Amino acid sequence: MNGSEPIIDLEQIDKTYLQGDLTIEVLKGIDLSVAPGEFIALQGASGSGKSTLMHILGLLDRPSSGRYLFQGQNVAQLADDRLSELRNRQFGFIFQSFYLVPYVTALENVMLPGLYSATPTRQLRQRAQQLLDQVGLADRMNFRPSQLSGGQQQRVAMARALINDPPLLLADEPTGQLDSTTSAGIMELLVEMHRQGRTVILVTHEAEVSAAAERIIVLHDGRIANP
Amino acid sequence: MFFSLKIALSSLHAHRLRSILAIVGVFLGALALTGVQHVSRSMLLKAEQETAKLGTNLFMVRSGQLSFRPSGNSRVRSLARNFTRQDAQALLAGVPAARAGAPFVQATSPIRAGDLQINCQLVATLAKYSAVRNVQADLGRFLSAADEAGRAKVCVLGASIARRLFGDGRAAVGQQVMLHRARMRVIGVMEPKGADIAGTDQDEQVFVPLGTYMRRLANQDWITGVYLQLGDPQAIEDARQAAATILRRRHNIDVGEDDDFTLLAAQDTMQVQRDALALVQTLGLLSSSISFAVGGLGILSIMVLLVRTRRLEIGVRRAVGAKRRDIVRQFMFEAGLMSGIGGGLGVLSSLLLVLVVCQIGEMPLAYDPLLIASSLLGSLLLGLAAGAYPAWQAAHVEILQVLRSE
Repeated sequence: MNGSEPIIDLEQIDKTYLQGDLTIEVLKGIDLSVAPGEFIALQGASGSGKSTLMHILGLLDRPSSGRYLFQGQNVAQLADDRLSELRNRQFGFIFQSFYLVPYVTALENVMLPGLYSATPTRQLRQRAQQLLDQVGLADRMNFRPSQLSGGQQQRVAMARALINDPPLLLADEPTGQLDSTTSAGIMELLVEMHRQGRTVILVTHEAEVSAAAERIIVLHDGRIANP
Repeated sequence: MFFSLKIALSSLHAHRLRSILAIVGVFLGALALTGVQHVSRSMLLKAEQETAKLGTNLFMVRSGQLSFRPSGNSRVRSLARNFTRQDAQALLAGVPAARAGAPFVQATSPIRAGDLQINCQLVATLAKYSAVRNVQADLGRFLSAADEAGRAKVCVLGASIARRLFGDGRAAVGQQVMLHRARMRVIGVMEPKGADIAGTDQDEQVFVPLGTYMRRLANQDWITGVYLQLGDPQAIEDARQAAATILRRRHNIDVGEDDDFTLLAAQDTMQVQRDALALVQTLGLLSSSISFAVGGLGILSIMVLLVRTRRLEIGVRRAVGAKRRDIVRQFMFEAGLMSGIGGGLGVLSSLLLVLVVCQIGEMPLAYDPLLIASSLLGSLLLGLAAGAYPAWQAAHVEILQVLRSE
């Protein structure tokens, strides 16, 4: 794939939900193109539709209408299993609430996506150890999430996002539950991951967090507000 | 594989009480199935061995109607006093395959040595009894033809009678005992044998010459019956018919009237045992089915619960690339793991239990690989069947619903 061809191309994406008799329009006519290697911040107040947009981008949700081309493939035509494969190989997810599996260790949490990519267990374990080392948790590998601080849990989640070496990272308010010192460390890691050549899409409502990005897209009432 | 095992175990550990309950259900099912079936098989084998020991060519004719109960005990109804030594001789002569015969009288009687008095089963018979019943004296000798001819006042003690009266079999030989107010000399002690399949314990018996008993002790002219040894075990049905014809004629029994005697082959008692054990097996099957059902429902309910409490985990797995079938596989694996553990432990403990029971009951140990394998496989399949619906539920958890609500 050459640099000029977008990795993600959205055309007139709408998303509506039915709530009782009410139809709620969350996204209205979103056009967005993401080039490989970009660092984009999706910024907006709560209810602006930025999380919904991220879920659609991450193949966790399907748009109601419009066209989503991921690496040139029309997502609407892909089967559920194929979407799972894409999420597994192409995306790394980092969530606000970390979403670690509570009853297994940090190391095993990091290994989790690797279970679905047919990686030999030994290799997987080695890579997970390396990643935990990189995020500064070499001495916490066999701790359970409940034994880790919020910042440490988010680092585990970031290591997990990288286990299959995906080209794209989606971070949904990754510092939303952390204090400012810890947040700075997490943002540094995210910037570092971008520097390694990954495309990063960051969802946030804080302008200072967006500052790390190269391009800021502001969402307002389900529309892109800046040109 | 190792990893999913670890996750499965961690998850079961997090819900240990319920998991254990579900496992216990399968455990009991497998235990009941393999345990009961094995023990009843061993009992049957033992009964078969006992029958063989008794002699498949042994055939008893006795006066009165003998009725069997499923417990294995027998009871005599309407004891008649019209069975004579002449009847016994007629049978020996008239039954085609009869090779040897031992007429006998059986009675319960006190026996006394010094100041010690106990009860014994008195058996008055001839020297041939030893060959016909295939029993021997361990010390001294058995009754002889000369004892019978001279109506000698001698007796042979069962092993346990000898021990109880004289402390030791060796000390008994040559001693005097009192039977029916007659002084009898102990000429031998029988080999220890224990109870036979019909419930008679030879160790509790005392043997005296038939003539001595009938003329000198009891003064009676009727006997209890006769043991017939057949030349050919296959001839039992013919022997039965011949014997019935002879006795009905000799006892003047009209057509339509009941026999006043009982014809009994070792195989008959075998059949009673077989019927009783078939009942035990059916009950065992029933109870294990119930346990299995409880175990299966237990697994079903705990899996439904697990799926509900682990929605976040399922959502995260799906988000990071698990396909629906990966989720199905995982939960089926966990259900199979529970039932596999339960079934495996159940089969294992039942094998130990069977070992102990067979040791205590002096029964032959007969493990059945097919039964063991099918118990294990059955437990496993039960778990998979119980896990199918929860696994399907898990696979259809909506990723976004989970991620939004948590």
